[in-house]
Amino acid sequence: MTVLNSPSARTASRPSATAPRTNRATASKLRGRLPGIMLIVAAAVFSIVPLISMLTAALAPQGSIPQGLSWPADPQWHNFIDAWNVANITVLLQSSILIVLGVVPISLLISTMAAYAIAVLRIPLGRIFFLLLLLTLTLPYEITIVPLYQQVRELGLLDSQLGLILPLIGLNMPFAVFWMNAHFVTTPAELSEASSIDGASAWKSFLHIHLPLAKPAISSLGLLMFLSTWNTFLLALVLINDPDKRTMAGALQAFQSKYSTDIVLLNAGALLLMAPTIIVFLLLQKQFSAALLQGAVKG
Amino acid sequence: MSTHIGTKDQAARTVRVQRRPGRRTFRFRRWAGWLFALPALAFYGFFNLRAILQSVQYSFYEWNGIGASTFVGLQNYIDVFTQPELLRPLINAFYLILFFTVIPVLFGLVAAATMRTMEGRFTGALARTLLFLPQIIPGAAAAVAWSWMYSNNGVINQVLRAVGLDSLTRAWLGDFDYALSAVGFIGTWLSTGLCTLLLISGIGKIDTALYEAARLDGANAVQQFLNVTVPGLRRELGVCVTVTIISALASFDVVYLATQGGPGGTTMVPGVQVYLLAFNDARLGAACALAVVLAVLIVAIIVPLQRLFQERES
Amino acid sequence: MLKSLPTAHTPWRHTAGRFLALALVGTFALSACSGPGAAPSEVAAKEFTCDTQAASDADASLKLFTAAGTAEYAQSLSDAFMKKYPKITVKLQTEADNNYNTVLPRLLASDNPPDLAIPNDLIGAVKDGLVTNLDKCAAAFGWEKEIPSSVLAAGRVSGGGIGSGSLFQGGGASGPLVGVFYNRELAKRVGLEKIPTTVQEFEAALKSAKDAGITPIVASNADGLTGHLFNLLLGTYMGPQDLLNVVWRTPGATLDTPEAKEAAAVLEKWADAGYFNADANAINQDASYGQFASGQGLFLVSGTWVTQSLPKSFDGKYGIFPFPAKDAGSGQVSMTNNQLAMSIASRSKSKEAAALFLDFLSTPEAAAVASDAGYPSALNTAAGAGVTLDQNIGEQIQAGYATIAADNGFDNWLNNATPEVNTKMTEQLQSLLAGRTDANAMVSALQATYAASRDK
Repeated sequence: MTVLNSPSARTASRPSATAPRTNRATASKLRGRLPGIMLIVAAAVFSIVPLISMLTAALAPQGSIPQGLSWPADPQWHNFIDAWNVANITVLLQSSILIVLGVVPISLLISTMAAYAIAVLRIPLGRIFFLLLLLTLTLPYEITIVPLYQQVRELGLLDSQLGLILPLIGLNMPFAVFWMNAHFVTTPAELSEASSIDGASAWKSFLHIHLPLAKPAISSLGLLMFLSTWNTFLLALVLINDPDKRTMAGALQAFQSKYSTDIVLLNAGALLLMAPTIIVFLLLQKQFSAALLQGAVKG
Repeated sequence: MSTHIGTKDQAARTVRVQRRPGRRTFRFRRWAGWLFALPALAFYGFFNLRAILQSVQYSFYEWNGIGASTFVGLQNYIDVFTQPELLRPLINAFYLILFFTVIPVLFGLVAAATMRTMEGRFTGALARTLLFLPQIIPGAAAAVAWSWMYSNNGVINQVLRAVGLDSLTRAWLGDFDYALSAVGFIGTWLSTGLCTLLLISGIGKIDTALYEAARLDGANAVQQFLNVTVPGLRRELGVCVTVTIISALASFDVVYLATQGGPGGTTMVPGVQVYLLAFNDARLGAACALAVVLAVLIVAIIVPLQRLFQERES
Repeated sequence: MLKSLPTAHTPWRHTAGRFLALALVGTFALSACSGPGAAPSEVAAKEFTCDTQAASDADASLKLFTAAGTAEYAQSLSDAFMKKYPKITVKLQTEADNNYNTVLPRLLASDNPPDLAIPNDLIGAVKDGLVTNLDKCAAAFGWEKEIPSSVLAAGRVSGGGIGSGSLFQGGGASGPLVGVFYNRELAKRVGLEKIPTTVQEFEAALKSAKDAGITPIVASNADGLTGHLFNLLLGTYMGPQDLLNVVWRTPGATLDTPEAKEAAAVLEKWADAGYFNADANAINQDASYGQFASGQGLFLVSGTWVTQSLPKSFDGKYGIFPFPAKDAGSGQVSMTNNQLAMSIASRSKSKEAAALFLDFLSTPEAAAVASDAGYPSALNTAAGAGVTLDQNIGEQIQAGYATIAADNGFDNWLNNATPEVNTKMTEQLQSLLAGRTDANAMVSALQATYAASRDK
């Protein structure tokens, strides 16, 4: 929640950019950084070990008792096909995609519009709306879950993806509007001026001037919302009883309790359930890294 | 948080208002701007704000979610602070901060200070990717992965046996003394990468001249760390601490899938307790009271922290 | 509630600002108004007469709610029913075993409830008006003549207790047998020559397994399922009727008895002796099935529904016997819950068709399906010669069930007394297994929870 529009007081200059260095200097510099590098390597290994361990267990023969980290003599890659079928991954993938498609575009559109109204059009009482959003930004899902359940039930949407999509859009608003507001307050004042002079063209100027400029901010926000929607757990667990209609993360619960009989299949299935986000992350790594670091700073 | 945005924007508004003729139409147009904000307000008001306020309302009632409810005043809140099974989750949540926040932040600080910048094309990129991984994975999946790590045949026990510490092996998540720390350590796994990367990216932005100056003043490495690095990273530290404390206090998926709060309630956290109270025991009022207390605690901790990490900047 | 949002009756000519203010004030006002959950609205006030004449020839669709572990069985039942009544389709709605009880009341209260279900908290369901009064069905289908009154009693609710009053759950009479599963190969290895029939003999078998380096009992306790063993011990020491009184919330029933403490003390003794797998507190039921099926322990204490979850490759390699008696002079005890008796949701839109399903449940066809799924019939339980080690599991289930029936030893799970007791039991059993509490303290804690929650 750090304020972003204040110009950074820091310079971004790095020694490497300013002074040419000899090989010897680089070597000694490297030696000095060796402990740091070792720490990073340790942290990196730490990050990946649980996943590797799951992989080795997933490749063991079904029904066997695998050990934590040991590459099986005869890796059973077909375990993943079996797990794909028992975990119903095809259906879950469709369900998760449906939920993401229902949540992310609408959230992006309406939060961008709201932030535009608050920051650029400077609507009356906009600040109050914004403060209200800020106030609820840090509140945990736990405080909404019980009434949300009753509310979705009253709407007759329990156990349907729509019943999860609508609340998620609402719950996304504080962060999303906050994020887009942070972008809009940095747009040049002349642009804002232009749009507020002629009220009738506010929509046009939103569409043709501000939206294109906001593209990078919107796409980062989109990635973050994709992640958080895809990984939705508590809400999916409560609002959707049928595990096949949940998000991938939400389905993990049912899968875990159902397939613990066979540790091999459990691990294979769990890896499949987390694979989509990992793949998307690897494909869009740069964007994700930027969004996550930025997101953390903003949020 | 946004006070100075507010003042700036007010100033701008007054200037413009004076310039413009036909104030009525102008006002009307400004109100018309609300058309842009209405969809967001509707979703937010109906599915977020209303739910929060209703939680507060429910917390004063005894209700099983189906039948009629009874107004019980503050009884649910009294229960939260006097019934051990409701108070304990709150205490556990604070203990988790050690693992979700303190350890990752300290590790990240040390790594950043010794590393300064993350360079090197291949290794740097690879390390970055790996460090990000836990951040991408849903907490639920992390819990499944670590349940396997902690199981009898899992990596942790395997390593202990390999180094001859057989006597220490155990089913970690089922152990009264270690389960909470074991669950907390999953949090360490989740937050360490992000904190480290954030702090490294932050330290790269600190002006090296500041270090030069400190060195000329005769500051040793520790003094440089305390006087240059830590203040220079104030913003990133604030972010790390805020984000991870929230995830520690509001944790749900990790604990729910790893232990469901067991054994014997030793790993019960507010999130899981709220869920169980509401959807298992059908005590919606108590569930909401606990959720409200949790929310208040989070705000009470985060707001001063924000002040602490920001004030000195200006 | 939706209608009371101010958006609906605020004319647009009021400015947007007032609209916003109203929206906010309205939301606050909303939360200040009367308490949540006003009287439940009955969907159809139409009198339910259990007249199924027309229903058998009319098109209808029924939804049957089942736990995942019993889905296969429920499917077979539905198939048999649909064969008999081709115009009625039955669809299953499945939920993970450990969520079944949690989800069911919420589903029954929803606008689109399952028509048929077996609520574990029948008292609560009756109190909240979620299930249909079946007195007329009992008369129409002649249940009172066909079905033992002790079986029907489990479906009767009055004055916050089970056992007498109007009928809310009915049908046939078949249920699981809860007992001790054993690994045939390991049983041979530890020298088990005959089925243990007293707790003392059973304890000797546990000890010989331990001495042979074999885990005596594989249990899962992250989900509190050592509760099955605890329940067997409770019934064995308290006597089934005293335990049933507690579960059915009969006035004056209490858990705070020397017998209950004795039962808990046996469990404590076995835990202290290391008769359970070391990771019991860390694993859930399916993991324990996995361990049992891969030969990592001699006994698994559970119900016959497990036969549907154990790997097919393990078929024939395990057997079951009923839990041994307190001593040679006492009867043997088991929990059961009638898998052929169901309730009809009060918000069901096809009550007549659902009643037809209940009628079907009391037929021999349904009993045969139940029997195949490991739920022997309570109607024809001629006491046999008892269970022997060399019988196949089907024979063992029948004979074991007959043994308990002959001893009049069927009771129910303490977990079903109240939801709070269920939650508390998990916590207490985990503590007991880890040596963090003792038998007396556990029974006191459970009694306290029971007393506090039974009259709510």
